Amino acid sequence: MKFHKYYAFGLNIDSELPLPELTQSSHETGDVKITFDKTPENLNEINGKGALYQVNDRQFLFRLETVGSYWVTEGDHIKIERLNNSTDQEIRLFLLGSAFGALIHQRGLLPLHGSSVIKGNKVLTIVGASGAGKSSLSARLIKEGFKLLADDVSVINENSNKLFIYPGVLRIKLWQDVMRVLNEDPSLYDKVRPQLEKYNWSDHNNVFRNDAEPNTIISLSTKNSAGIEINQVHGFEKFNILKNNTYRYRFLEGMNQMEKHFNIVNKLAQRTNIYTIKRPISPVELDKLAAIAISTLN
Amino acid sequence: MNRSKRNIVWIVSYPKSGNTWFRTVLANLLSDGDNPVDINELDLSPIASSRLHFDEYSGVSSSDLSFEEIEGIQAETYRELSYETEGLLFRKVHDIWKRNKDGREIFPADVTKAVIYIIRNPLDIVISYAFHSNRSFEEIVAQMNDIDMGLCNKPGKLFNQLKQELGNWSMHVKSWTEDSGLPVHIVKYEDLLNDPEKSFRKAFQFSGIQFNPVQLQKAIEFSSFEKLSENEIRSGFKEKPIKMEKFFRSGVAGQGKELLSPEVVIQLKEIHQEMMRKFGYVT
Repeated sequence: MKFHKYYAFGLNIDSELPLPELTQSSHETGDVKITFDKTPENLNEINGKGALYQVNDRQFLFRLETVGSYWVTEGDHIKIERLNNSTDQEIRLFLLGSAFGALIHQRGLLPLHGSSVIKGNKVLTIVGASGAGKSSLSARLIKEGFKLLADDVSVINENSNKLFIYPGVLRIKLWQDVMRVLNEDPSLYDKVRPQLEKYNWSDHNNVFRNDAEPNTIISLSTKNSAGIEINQVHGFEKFNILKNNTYRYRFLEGMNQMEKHFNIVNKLAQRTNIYTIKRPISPVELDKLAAIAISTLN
Repeated sequence: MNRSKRNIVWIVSYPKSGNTWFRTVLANLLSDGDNPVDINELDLSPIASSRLHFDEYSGVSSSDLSFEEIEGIQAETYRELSYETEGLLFRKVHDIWKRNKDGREIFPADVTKAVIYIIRNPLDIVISYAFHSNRSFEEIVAQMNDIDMGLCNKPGKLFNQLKQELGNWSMHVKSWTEDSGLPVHIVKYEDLLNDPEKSFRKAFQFSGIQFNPVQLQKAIEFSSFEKLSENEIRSGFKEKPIKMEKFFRSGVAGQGKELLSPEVVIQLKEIHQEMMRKFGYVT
């Protein structure tokens, strides 16, 4: 079987399915294998579950009837069963989201729910809930000369006593209204899925494909009054922000990986500057928001 | 494994019908403190259509799913929430009661303790809604008559809540009070104003909450219109839409009759006459 080789999330990946959103690699030995295969209906032992997933110490099973089933085992293998004649693009969307999220947790790495961009050696990681404006702000920063390091999920780990943030998915998913604000023509880009007005926006000249060091983290949220508020966070609140913005935190609870998670979150809290930025829910004011975000790097 | 537990109380209403006031009294009753609960800390009864809740309890980003896919999964996220929670759970709801395309209910009976359905004279809803959204009475009536009305339902935009279908006002009332088959307790907003002690007591008893009369009286006092309004002036209200000047505006009944033109009243009554008569809003 021919495998496509990629480097992402700090891992060498061998995949039966082409993954154009990731960085190609020429590694010899892979850390993670992705194959098409049968997946089970249920896990034998279930320590945690959600509407679409089951999890135990070593396995994770995710099933979206309209797209596919993903069986993630031992932090090194994702088996995919295509359902409902879904397209490769749809399979990739949930592979690079929930399935990789689980694999990253299985390996004890920290996936933050946020996008990262880099300029010079300064990395800005923007975390926040869905709808906070992470992707919009990242896209706006790329227009200010930043390069995209990771969209939506930023993976962090420690190596030789240094923290690294790894290149991840190198496209940004943008809704139609944000594309307009950014003066981008949606018709020039592929839809994330045919039924959604959401597009895969990417600029291959503005991506960063190497490991970097985390630097500044912004926790972005919305408020119902005018004006943008920024505050630097100190002490235990830093830890809380990182814990609360851990991607798919509920997966962890069934995995027995809480201690590793606690340790890395603790180190990251100590070694980064963390800010909260609250923006009006509308209008988005991306220009102002970008200027304020950039000011945190000085 | 049967993990079913009937412990969710859905606090349901068409928008601008008194849901926030009800939740404030509830929050004060449950906290049983010496001071009123801050209106920005009503987190005990968050909205059922929270995107954050869906994403956590499903394990997938709702922003990558179609409206139809979300409706297929929603009920299961509420079940997960119910299973992991001891004791009663409260969720605010503006959606119409409906089934998804597979014929399954979105608000599942097997985890439902009770539905508190708050109904308000639609003429008064028009006034409240219009002031709160800076729109004309005519626009609001058109919306309340629109069978396709919904919230957070524009396709090219991401909202922090999931799409909520409302239907028109009568459909909304009928869906919960006649079609759902759930244990529903109907509360009239006007009764909450006229005899708060009796109306809140009956609703809370129906929900299975334990309390004594002193606690209830204190909760109602702590949630008076004056107190809520003061609280909003002092520290804002995070559930207020950004375009709205002030969330707690007047808190009275009967303004619809005084302020609406006969034409607007006719437009509303044409569609909702039957349901209004049923609840004593027209004679």
